[in-house]
Formats: sequence, C-alpha cells, structure tokens
Amino acid sequence: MNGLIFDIQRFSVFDGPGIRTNVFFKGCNLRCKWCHNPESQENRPQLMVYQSKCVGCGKCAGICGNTFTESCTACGKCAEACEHGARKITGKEMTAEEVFSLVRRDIEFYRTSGGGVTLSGGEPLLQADFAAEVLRLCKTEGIHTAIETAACVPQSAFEKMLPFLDLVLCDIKCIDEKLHKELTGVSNRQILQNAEWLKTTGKSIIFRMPVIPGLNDGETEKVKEFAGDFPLELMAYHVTGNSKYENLGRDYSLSELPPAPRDFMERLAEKTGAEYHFTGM
Amino acid sequence: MKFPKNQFNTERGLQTFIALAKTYFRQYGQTLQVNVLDAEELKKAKAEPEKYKGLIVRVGGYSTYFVDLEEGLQDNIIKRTEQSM
Repeated sequence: MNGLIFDIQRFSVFDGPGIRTNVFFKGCNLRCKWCHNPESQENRPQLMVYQSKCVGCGKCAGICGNTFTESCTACGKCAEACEHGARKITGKEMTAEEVFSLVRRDIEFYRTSGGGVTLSGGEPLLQADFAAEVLRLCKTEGIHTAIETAACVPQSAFEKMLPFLDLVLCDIKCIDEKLHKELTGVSNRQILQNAEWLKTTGKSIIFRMPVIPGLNDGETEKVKEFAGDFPLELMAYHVTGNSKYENLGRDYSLSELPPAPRDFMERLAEKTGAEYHFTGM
Repeated sequence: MKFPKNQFNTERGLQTFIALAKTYFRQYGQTLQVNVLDAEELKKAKAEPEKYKGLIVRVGGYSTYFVDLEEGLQDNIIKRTEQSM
C-alpha cells in the first residue's frame, strides 16, 4: 500500500511526548491562511525552486519552460539537471513498510524518552488506510503512536486508526463557523462533531489551537471551553515557513504578519487557562 | 554534537537531552562531546556556507542544515542565538 509523503523528520520534540519521528503526509483539505507547510496542501508531487541556490546557468530552462505553470507535471527532470540543488520535487510515494523501516531506526530513543511516531502533514487521515497500516506496523514493535489532524474527515477515517493509536493531537482553529470558513476555506461543523465524538472514545486527546494574532486569537476562550476537561495547547504563529510559498511559485497572504510574541502567548495562555510552551520560534 | 544554549535551560529540553545521551551511550557511543552553538560560528557559516555544510541547527522542534535555510531565517536564528548567550 502506498502513501504520498513529503518529509520524515527525526528528533522532533513538539509533536507529542518525548523524542519522536514526524511523518508528513502530502495532501490537505483545508487551506489555512497561515499554513507554514504549503507544500503539504496539494495531494500530488510538486516542484520547489530555491532561488538563493540558483546560479543562472539555464540548464533547467533547456529542459522545459513549464516551471510554476499548470503544464508542470513535477516529472523531476529539471531538478535532476540542476547541479546546484536549486530544484527539488516534494512528495514521494512510499510503502507503509518503507515508512516503518525509517521510523523504527530511532526505537531506542523513543523508549528512553517516552517518545514514538507522529503522523502529520497535511492531513494524514485523507490517506487513512495507509496511515492505519503504518501505525499497525509501529505497534508490532511497541512504538507509541500519535496523529496530528485537523479532523475534517469522515468519522470512519478515525475508526480505522483507533486500534493502533495512542494519542490524538486535534487542531481546533476557531469555533465560529463563519470565521472558520473565512480562515481555512471549510466549515468546522464536521471537525467539532468529530472532536465531540473523539472525547467519548477514551483515547488520549490534546486539543491544539494555532494562534494567529488579529485573525483567530479572539476565539481562544471559546476553544478552551470546547476543549473542556481535555488539555488545550496554544501554538504561536511563526514565520519559518514563509519562504516555502516563493519556493512553490505562490504568494503568501500573511507575509506582513509578524510572529506571535512570546509574552502575548503567555498572557493569552494564562488568561484562558490553556497551555503554552515556548518552542524557540 | 552541537546544541543551542536553550536546550539546557528548560526542564523539557534537559530531559530530551538526557534521553538522547543515555540512548546514545547504551547503543553506540563511547564519547559524546557536547558543544554549544554560538552566533560567531553561525555568522561564519552564512558567509562561507561551503565550509559549514554539515552544521545542524534547531528550528523550533526539528533539526536542519543551517546553510540550507533562507537568509531571513538564518538571520533570525543568529539574532536569537546572540540574545541567548
């Protein structure tokens, strides 16, 4: 069984407990204005161009002129031709076994630190069968499993995961439905429905809210209320992904928005009773 | 191995480092030289990336090669490293 993956990051420490490996699934059904992994959104391989590495030799232009146009098929020929690492294809088909064999390299580190694997992206539950198979393999070696999800998927997608899943990190962007549609492109009705159902399953859940000052920070109290007895972690808006839009030939609508300041986040967390951990970004 | 200074001044950062070191010794290592990354080295890496291809830094919750980062992010990391020294 194959899945489309765009990154596998070792030694991740802010996506669940302990030292973890983060597996990033390509494809997402939300289009959050603040997305810091824009390469995660489309469910197909894409070309990324790093202008700072380009020396202007023109080899890529000799292959084809379709860069950043609809005719680009992400075939990878221009990336192969470039001798300066200025082009790469993001998104690779992998089997569940391939993903598992990479994840299990750090099994001793998971054991010592209480860590494990986290499926993220993009939206891992859009490739639910594949995700479930990866988690099933991880469970054969006792690896702790988590998923990060926006939860805008059918409940059946979650049900496939449950037998192999220890922890759900469930994003809630905001409670107001109209605002949600404006900020992410989709209604949050299914998200909130799934979240309510998840609460009844007995699974460990951490609700998480990305805080984008001026856009959704006014919803923090409502999200905390929604989370109820379950922990809510606030995530500060950061700008480390901004350059990726350019690398994809796209504009970024929030390019002028500065990162959420640490003291702003700390005050917000204290005021609402949510948790906030400074991650250095 | 090189670490940013703030690896060592939070409880979580310390626990993570301890887990890393313990596992390393249990599995592979006999020597672990712990270095703290400083801003001077980062500035040199920015100026002469070909000499610092292997330099790894932490960006929030993950590790990456410093010389692969966009200039704006490099400057951001240098500034934060200077502030934490």
